[in-house]
Amino acid sequence: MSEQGRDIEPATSRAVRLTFAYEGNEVHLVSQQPLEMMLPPTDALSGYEGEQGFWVEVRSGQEETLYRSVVQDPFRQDSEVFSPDPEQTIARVPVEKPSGAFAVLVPDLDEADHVALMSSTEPGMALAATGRGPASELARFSLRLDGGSGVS
Amino acid sequence: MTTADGSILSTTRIVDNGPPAQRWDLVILGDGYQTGQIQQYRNDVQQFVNVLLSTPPFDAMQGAINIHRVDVTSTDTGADDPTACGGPGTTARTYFDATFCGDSTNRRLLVVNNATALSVANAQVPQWNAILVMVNSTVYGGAGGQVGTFSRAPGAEEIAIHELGHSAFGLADEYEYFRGCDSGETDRNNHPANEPAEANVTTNTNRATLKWRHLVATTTNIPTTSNANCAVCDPQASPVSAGTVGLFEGAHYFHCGAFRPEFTCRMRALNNPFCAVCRERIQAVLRPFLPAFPDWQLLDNNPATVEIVAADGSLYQRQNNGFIWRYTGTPLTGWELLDKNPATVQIAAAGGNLYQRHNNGFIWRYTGTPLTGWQLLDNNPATVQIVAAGNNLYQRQNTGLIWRYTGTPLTGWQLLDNNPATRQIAAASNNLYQIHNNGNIWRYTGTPLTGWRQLDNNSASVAIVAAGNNLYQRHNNGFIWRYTGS
Repeated sequence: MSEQGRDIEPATSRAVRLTFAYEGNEVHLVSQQPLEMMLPPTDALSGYEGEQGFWVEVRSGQEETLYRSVVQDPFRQDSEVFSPDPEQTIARVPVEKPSGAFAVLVPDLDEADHVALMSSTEPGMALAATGRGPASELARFSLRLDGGSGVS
Repeated sequence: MTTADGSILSTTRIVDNGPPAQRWDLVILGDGYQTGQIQQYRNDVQQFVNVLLSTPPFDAMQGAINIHRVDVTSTDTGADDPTACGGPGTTARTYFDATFCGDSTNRRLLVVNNATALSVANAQVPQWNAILVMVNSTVYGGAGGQVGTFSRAPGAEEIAIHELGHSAFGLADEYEYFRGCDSGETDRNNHPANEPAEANVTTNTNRATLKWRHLVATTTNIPTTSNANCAVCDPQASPVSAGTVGLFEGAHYFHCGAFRPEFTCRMRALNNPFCAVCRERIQAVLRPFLPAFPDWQLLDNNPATVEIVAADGSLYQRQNNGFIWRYTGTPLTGWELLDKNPATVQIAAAGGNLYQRHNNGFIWRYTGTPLTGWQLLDNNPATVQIVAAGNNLYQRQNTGLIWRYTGTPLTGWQLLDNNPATRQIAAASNNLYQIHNNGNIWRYTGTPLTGWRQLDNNSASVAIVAAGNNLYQRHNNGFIWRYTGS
């Protein structure tokens, strides 16, 4: 194996689409939709301690991270504005999004116990006004059929 | 303004590479198209699809992608376009409630009801991986988020592709400001020290641990650019050629302390190609969705590999850091490191031998001991190419000289030709060929300097390759020809 190689995850045919809703600084798991489909490969399962951003972790009951997906921060209180002017085609502007919904796709693994939302920002917090520190656990939700909900 | 203001007509898999469960599925929804405008919508979507699938790296990954077009009608045409942002004050009753001026300030911020878009995608294509909403307006606009939006204005498809970079592939913005370089903002000077999780921005300036180090040439400075004044965007031009991967200061909304992989990228400014790091990330996400061709077995998956050669049952690879590996029989893990010299720029194999050429022209033969078992065969800095065939090793120098190795290191080289017009050599079996700058192709007949037989004289010929008893040439129009003579 070459030193810079990366593992390819085995194709997974069972997945769950988790749909979340947030209002203020509270996040709720609205639905778990089982699906037969492949998933993108996991992001690195180690070596990311202290990083900033937003990602989703599927963990076992022993807190082992089984799958990790770096995604766009759904709580950002800003948006991109585009321009055909070649001098500056993109800029960001603050946008109030006190509530909203987003979905994430995770593998349906036998050993999965819960999903954790890891974030450097909290819902309702404007990125422009914050220094983005290391991501911390914003909320966790049970992946067992009896459900569960998380609060930031 | 709600789903009562239209209806779902149908869903069509307009790019169909297999079952949705096994492919990466993009769903495109339409808003502000009335029933009589559905054909316009279909044309607009097709135009976007053509652009997307001709954009690297999507062009090379098409087999992994399905695209689903959901035909949605709206009561009214267009989108809300408030006067507050300079619009005409139009109010349009549309299915996804498309609205310009989404922040009450910027007309081009085009937003829709994300929850409705998610709901429709869930119902129409449960296996969706990304969602875009195309809005029937010629006003330039769009927005990001999990549901990306873009209008049918010329060039707005760039918005959608940029937003896919975020929503589907987890890429970060590479621009170094928030509101703009000329906005007067004062809180964009220095990026927080924490490393961003995204693949295409970093705070790390250590070449040895840089997350895209495998794409950086040893000759590229790290950092490649530094911003001399962290109070403003860096005004300097790129000191390296386009496409050079390095470490360019100014990224992720900050003038200093955050770095991007290339000087330009679609994640930095629209109308640029994705940089190599972004392309690699997109390919990594899409690769598992490529159709399986069972007759091909994956032997390694390292993006740093830049050359492979095979001979006599052995397979070798060279990586962009100069490392040379031999395949030992176990896919992915079965590679033996034979050398790790960053100066290596070419390998060749034949007759049970493996050779390497360094960037200083030195030629080495592998003698069987990994890392240390390399015998120096020549040390001429003029050497720019080696080829091997059968039991023969040849070298070409930048003066056009062609030499054959006769078995004695350093001194045992026989001069076969001395024509400065020689552009390239190729060898197979017992044959050696050369092509000149004017396209003339010659075969060596056994007498040094004079023993060359001309096989062609076409000025369009730019390259030759040889295998077995066959010789091929490539023309500058892409045409490929096989030599049929003796």
